Amino acid sequence: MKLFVTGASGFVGSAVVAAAIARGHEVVRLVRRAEPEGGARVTDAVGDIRHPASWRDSLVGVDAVIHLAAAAGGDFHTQFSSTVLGTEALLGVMRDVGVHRLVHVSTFSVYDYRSIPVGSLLDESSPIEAHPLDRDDYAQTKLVQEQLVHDFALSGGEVTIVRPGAVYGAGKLWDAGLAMRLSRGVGLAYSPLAHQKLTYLENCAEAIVLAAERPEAIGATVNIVDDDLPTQRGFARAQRRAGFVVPRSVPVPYRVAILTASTLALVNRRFAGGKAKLPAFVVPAKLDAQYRPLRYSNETAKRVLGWRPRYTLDEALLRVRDVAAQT
Amino acid sequence: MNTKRARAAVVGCGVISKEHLHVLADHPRIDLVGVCDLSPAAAAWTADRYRTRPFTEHRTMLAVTSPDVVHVVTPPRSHRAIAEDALRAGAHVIVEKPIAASKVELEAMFALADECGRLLVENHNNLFNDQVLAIDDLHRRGALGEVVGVDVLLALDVTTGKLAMADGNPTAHLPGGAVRDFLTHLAYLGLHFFGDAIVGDVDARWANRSGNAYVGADDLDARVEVGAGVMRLRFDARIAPECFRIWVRGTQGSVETDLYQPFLRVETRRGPKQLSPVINHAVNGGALAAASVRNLRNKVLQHTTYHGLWRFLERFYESVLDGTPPPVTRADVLRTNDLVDRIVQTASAR
Repeated sequence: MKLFVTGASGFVGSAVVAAAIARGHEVVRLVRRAEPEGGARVTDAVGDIRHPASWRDSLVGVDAVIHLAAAAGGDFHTQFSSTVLGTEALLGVMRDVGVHRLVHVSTFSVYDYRSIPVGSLLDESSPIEAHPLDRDDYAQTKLVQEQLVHDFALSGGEVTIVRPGAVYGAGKLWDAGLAMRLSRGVGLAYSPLAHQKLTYLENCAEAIVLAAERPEAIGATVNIVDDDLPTQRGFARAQRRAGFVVPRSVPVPYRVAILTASTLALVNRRFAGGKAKLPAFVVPAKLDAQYRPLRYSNETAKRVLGWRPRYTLDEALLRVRDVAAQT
Repeated sequence: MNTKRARAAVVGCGVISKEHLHVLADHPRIDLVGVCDLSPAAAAWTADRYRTRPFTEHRTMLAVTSPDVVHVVTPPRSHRAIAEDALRAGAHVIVEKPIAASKVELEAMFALADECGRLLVENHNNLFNDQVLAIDDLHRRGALGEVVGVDVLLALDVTTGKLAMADGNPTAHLPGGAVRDFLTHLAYLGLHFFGDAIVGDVDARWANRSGNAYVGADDLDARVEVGAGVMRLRFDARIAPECFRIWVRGTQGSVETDLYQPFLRVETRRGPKQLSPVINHAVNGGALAAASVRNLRNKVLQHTTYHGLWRFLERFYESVLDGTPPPVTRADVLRTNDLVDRIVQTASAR
């Protein structure tokens, strides 16, 4: 297949390009600046996704688009501009040039965590966040982005929505799942015994490429998490086993964390009209999105994509360590 | 109390629109009747967020909603066309800075506003920030004497980080690039403390020091003679931490502030002459400590650098509804833009 990959120079995007090449595909990378050459089967379209003039011709003749471009940082309007306006521009060009197949890489952040009882299963049938303004800028903009993709599907697009969990890999180990660092060697661990919705970068990238390959995936929404998900404590231990230095954690049970956050929210409403801007880890909706103890499943991914996570947690962390050693 | 209400519409749903929309959504005398953006997604999201109607074509919005006031918060290149359409549709108009590409263009816009019998203003929100009002108060009470020097320094990283202007830079087409985007703020703040004094010689130079070709100029040094005094306007993308310093010096005293991390350092004659420096230090030390607590509270309660916009818009809507003077006069806007033009011409010629 000839795949057009947006966000191709990003953390997940570059792994998706590598996975696509490994599976024999041809790739057009949409990148903002010239990148090191990617090999014989890789060509680059250089430009900003929001300004299609520089890249629209590169979309002609591709079999599928894998859309990863999004902003994970910056203020709301920075994220809205990159994530939403970028997607709007991409879908407009896809309609114009007649490319219908889209693998949209979304996120677990779109789910409505507060509506899922503690200890229950979060899967593809779980509800989407009904109160986006309570959530962070990333969740808000990814929700709007998904809506655009749904509209594209309704107008004839052949869409697969892939929602990866927390993707870890070289350079990104999520600080072993800590809510915050108290000092260099000590951190606060919310819900230390809750399962982490993790997926290793290379496992996730392969699932995304499979989503583009499989006709059965058209119309499907697929969550991506690995097998045998560790707890926060288990993730920290696995990192130590692989030779990483992990801060010691001060455990804070979920009930204590959410009670504290809810109390602060009450004080905020009562004395500051709800205007006080507090850190995410003491805002109930944001805290729940990260630390609510839930269970996760990759059954749909296995069934629809025929995917199996290639690397276990320990194998993945050793690969991350090897990459770190090389760099 | 006059109970008349105003119908407001906003063209442009980008980053600055939020500041305007917060005011419009909460104001008891304003009905937000529509928002418009070329992006359907941006228009729809903004309309949903502020409970109003979305449009993607501003002429359609003007025709359908008949607003009393239109806020033009689009990239500068479109300001004139949209503002003129709004004036012709019978609306008073607030335009974000820079209101026009040149003073000649601005004069044509004012001529049309006269023809239509409507108000046209450029947003000079920083004049209404707490610290600037506090300096005004000191000046009015004679604590500074005659103002003979004003320095304004805006240190803002426009070359990396969240404000980095990539190829979507809205002012890339204007001479000066990133500097031009902020020059209006520097100019009106500098001129403000000199009253009606005549602007004399202007010397200005700008440069790109970051090597980031997208931003155009990212450094400005302008020296302007105003009446018997001198004003210095600086923009620097390299200084850290970012700051927005204003230093007003008079024949009786001086005052310094920062609009980003607000404080007020006042040096004037306090007590016996020999003790005055000591007293100044003690008083300013206490004020600085108090400012740190106040700034923390303001940060938590989101009392941001844009708080002056609330007062600016409040005053503008009062002028529309009650016939009071607008927050900035036409003379202020023309004078500001004349200085901006002269700085641009001088710096471009170097």
